[in-house]
Amino acid sequence: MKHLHRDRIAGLITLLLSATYLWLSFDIEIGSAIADSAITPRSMPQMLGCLGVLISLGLLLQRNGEPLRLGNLSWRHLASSIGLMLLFAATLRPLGFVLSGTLFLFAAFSLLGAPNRWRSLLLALLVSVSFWALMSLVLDVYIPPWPERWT
Amino acid sequence: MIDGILQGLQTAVSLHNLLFLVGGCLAGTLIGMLPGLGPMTAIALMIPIAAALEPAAGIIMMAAVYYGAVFGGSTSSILINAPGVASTVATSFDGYPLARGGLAGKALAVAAYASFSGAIIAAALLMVAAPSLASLSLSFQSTDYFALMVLGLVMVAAFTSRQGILKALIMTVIGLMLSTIGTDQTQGVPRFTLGVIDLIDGISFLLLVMATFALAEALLQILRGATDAQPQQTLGSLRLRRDEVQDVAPPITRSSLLGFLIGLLPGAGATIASFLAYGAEQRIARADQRKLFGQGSLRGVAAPEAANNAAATGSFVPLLTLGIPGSGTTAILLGAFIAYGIQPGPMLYVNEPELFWAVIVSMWIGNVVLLILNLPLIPYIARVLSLPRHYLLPMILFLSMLGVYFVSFNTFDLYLMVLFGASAVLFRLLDFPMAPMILGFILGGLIEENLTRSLLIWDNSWAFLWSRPLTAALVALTLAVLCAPLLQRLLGWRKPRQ
Repeated sequence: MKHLHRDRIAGLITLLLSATYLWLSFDIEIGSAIADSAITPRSMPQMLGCLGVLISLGLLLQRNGEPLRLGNLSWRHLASSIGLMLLFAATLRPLGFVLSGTLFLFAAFSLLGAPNRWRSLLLALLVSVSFWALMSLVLDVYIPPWPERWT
Repeated sequence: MIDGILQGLQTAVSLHNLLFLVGGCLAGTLIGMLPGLGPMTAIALMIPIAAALEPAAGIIMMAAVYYGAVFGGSTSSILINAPGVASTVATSFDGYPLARGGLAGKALAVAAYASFSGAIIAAALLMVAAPSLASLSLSFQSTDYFALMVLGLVMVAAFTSRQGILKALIMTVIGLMLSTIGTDQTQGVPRFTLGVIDLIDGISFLLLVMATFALAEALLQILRGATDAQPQQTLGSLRLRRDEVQDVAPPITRSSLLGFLIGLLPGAGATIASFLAYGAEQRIARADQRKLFGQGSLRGVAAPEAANNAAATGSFVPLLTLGIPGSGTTAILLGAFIAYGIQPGPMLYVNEPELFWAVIVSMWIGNVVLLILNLPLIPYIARVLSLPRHYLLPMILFLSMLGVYFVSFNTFDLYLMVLFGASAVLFRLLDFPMAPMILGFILGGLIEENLTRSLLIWDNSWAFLWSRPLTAALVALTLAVLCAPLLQRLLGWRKPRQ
């Protein structure tokens, strides 16, 4: 890990991204009619892919750089928050907006250390219902508030 | 021009638009005040609301959010020494010591008057500069636009990168790469969709902005375990004495002019303007005044505040006249323009003078609103700084997701947003700047379109890059900006790392 300073890790990641992008650009179909043109749907992606690889190599070859410091970070909170967002996306349709929104907010408030559970639950419910009402009743955009089978 | 101004005034002062202007100023101030959430996040969070409005109201509201957020950023700089945006860092040098000395009210008042004056002076200059530049840019061809956009991207990368130009350049390239996802505009061929139907129309600009700014900022604060801020309990008087007004007036005028000129340059923007103005005022101050800089000088608050607001207004010149944003914030505004089906540029001035002038006139009105409404409300608005993080951060996550979902009603966008948000956290931990990526994403389609058109006009030859004088000059300037850091390194001018 001694040589893995921040710029080098950054360079590795962008090199991987650029190389994958460049590789995928060869899958773009171009019709025979425009194959000889100076610019085709592949041209820009291939120029960008090459540029990305070159700049990434430049980053990788940089001699100086600060080490990557990952201490004192709440990785558990970050992972749980991302998990909660994915869960919100997954439950939005089956559970309806109010239920999924309330669950997301309540869980996120609790995760980040909100002291009073009842207040958190009430606030979560209030925010979800307010947004649902704003969209459905004021802006006339209907979103199912509950699971469809309840209605 | 007078007709245009009157037309713009008529549009801007309609009750409907005024309401959104006032709402935008207040929302911008509230969001901009929260540490870490700057104008870009504020505008991103307001896009879903703007999308539901007609173009004039939506764009007036977004512009109001912009300078409201810049004003809000200075408030948190002064009260809790936590600048909401980089452009108000210089304000905290003297604003926070003043607040600690019980003079928070005076510092806030000077910040408000300086912001107001900076924005008003710059808006007057904008009124003169924008039509002239718009008329000039009518003679621009596709080749010039292509070269100008590439120059804009390179300059933003060069100026915005604290972390080195390579990181900013790779982010620009990644933004350009993301813009190629979806159906190709010229041939109708799908690119990088990986067989996913939801990607056929490409990635939504709103999704990318929300994910990389609002969502990523909240996730970063969760990761870093940010603690609740403790604002000053008493602000003190907001009134300024006559000698204090006389003391800050000259720095405000000088810094406004400096800020406007810097704001015109792509990439330079409000941050550089505020630091330059602070440094310049410190240098030209009398010895007894110079000693006060950093200890609680009103001049030290006035100069950066006037400059950053003037620069924010100045950055509208290239956006409105050339259609080229000079900063991440104006790039987001450009995205909003495009979402309305409006292409900023010289033709905006010709085809939609009402909208063009309404935006400019609304800057004047918006700043008056900021001064007469927000300043007296500051003691109340500042309470938002006491909002506990365990409530605030989940709300930002929730609002960001709703903002995207309520536009597309597609849960795929939510998954994609979480993916981009998590990636943005990783990139920001590795010190990658996000603004160049957004700029690359916004300009990607336009760059490809102008390049294709140029090659068609020039019979598939790249000779346009050096044969047309204006294009060649822009290409030469781009190469100069790119080579400058390399030359600095070769000649040993580079400062040692801190």
